[in-house]
Amino acid sequence: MKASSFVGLLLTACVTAHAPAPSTAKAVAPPTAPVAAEPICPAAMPTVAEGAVPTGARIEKVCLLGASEDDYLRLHEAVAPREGTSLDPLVLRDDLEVLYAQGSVSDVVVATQALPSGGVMLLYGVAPFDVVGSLTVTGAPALGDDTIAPKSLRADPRVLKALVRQVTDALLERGYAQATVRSTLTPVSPGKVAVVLEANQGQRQVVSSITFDGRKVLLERELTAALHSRIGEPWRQDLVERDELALTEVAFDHGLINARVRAVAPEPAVDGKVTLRFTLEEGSVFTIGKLTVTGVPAADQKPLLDSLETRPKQTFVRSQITRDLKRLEHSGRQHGVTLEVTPLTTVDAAKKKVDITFELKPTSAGAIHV
Amino acid sequence: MRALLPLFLVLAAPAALAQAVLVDRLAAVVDAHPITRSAADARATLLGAPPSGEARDKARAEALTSLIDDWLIHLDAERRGLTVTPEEVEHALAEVAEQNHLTVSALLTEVTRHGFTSDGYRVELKRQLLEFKWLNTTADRASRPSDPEALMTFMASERVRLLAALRQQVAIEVKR
Repeated sequence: MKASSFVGLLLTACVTAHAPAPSTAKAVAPPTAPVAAEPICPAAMPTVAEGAVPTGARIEKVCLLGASEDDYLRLHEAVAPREGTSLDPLVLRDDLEVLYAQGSVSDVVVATQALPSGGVMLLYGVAPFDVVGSLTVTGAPALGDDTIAPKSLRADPRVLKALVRQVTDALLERGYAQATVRSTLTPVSPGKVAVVLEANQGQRQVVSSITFDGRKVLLERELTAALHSRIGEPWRQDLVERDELALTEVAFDHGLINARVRAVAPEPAVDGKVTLRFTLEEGSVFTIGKLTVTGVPAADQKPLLDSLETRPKQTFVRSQITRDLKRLEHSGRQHGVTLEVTPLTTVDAAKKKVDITFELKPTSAGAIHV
Repeated sequence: MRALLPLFLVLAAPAALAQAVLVDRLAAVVDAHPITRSAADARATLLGAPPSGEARDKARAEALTSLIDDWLIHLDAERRGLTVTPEEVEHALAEVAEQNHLTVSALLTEVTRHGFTSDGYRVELKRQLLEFKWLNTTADRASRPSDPEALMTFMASERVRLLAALRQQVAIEVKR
């Protein structure tokens, strides 16, 4: 029996049991053997008590209690297949987790009721999440304190956490680096709560100056141009992290293969003006040593090497090597071969040289010829 | 109508009178992850809790806390790319067996007397290995003492500190 048709029958049975009898009912004779009667789900979850779990008992009926009309069919479908099976607590644990994972209930209880037949009625009691009647943001003038009446929003801790994260991120993006947000729930009517997202946005932090400590080889204007943070704009942790990577890229393009760049976390300034400070450990400038290509016939190596931007004795430039890698892949494609190009580097720290080998491997049929 | 009324009562009677026996319930939720009472019970049993009474309730509550901690560690380990391979579990199993002067097969027979299945014991070993890796990766390296006994105390305190920090990052709801 499909779950949906089962639910239809179940609902019909419950309605029939509680509805006034139809006029034709007089013709129906009461059964003589009550044990043959179809068990009926209780209207609400009964009080449950601890006791011996009837593991292995036959589940004669499955009841889902407490679900909202909107959720009933979907939730019942998940547990209906237990009917007719033997009770296995581990399977029921899975059911419980599945019901919760649907995202519409805040609590789940599983219980059994013994039936005269020796089987059991399996009861899944669920409590729907409260509905969010109103959502208010306070303490965040930067976002504009506001109250909205959301549609179909449940007071699920996961949802509330996401809302808190959203407001926090919005404040961080605007430079309120110390912003904190918390949610509070106030019941307004049965099943309905008012949610307030209380923010403390704090002082906006704006980049007023940028310094690069430890700079020797690299030019300030080149470093500044690579930054995502800008003077006069909000100080943002996410941008500063991208800045560190961007500055490291600049260093790698000047042969500084051991360069380390670190942003110094600024102290929150009372006036909101912060200096964006980076410390650089540049290390030595490295040049290209040997440059080779493998995986192609010897006769094809020279033309391939000639096609590259990178040359021996040049300063090591990482972006140039990346471009050469793509150039080799393109060259392969032009000859009908898909190439996997792996740049292998050997660093000679004493001579400050980097040997580079482009290892070519065809990933599609065909030999590599230039 | 008169004929149907007794029928309704007969049909409704079994459900109305029988005592409902608890099988399982949601015990806690860590972000979107549910932890069941039966899982806490199973952990309490493994830890040697008595079958009922106040001591059982206390043991279950402690087991629930440890399951929450396990999940927090699991999440953080996953975020850090830490994993435990089946080979590592088998290696650990062999080590435990050797330490106890048993074969792996004899060890697995022995653990069943303590409420584990073979698979369950492997799962537990995997959990312990992951926690070991996680703690080793995340604990403050600079402050680690070299004395083995002091190191154990230090790692235990680091575990408490790190878990407290992880708890701040998630929504934990203990139901009952």
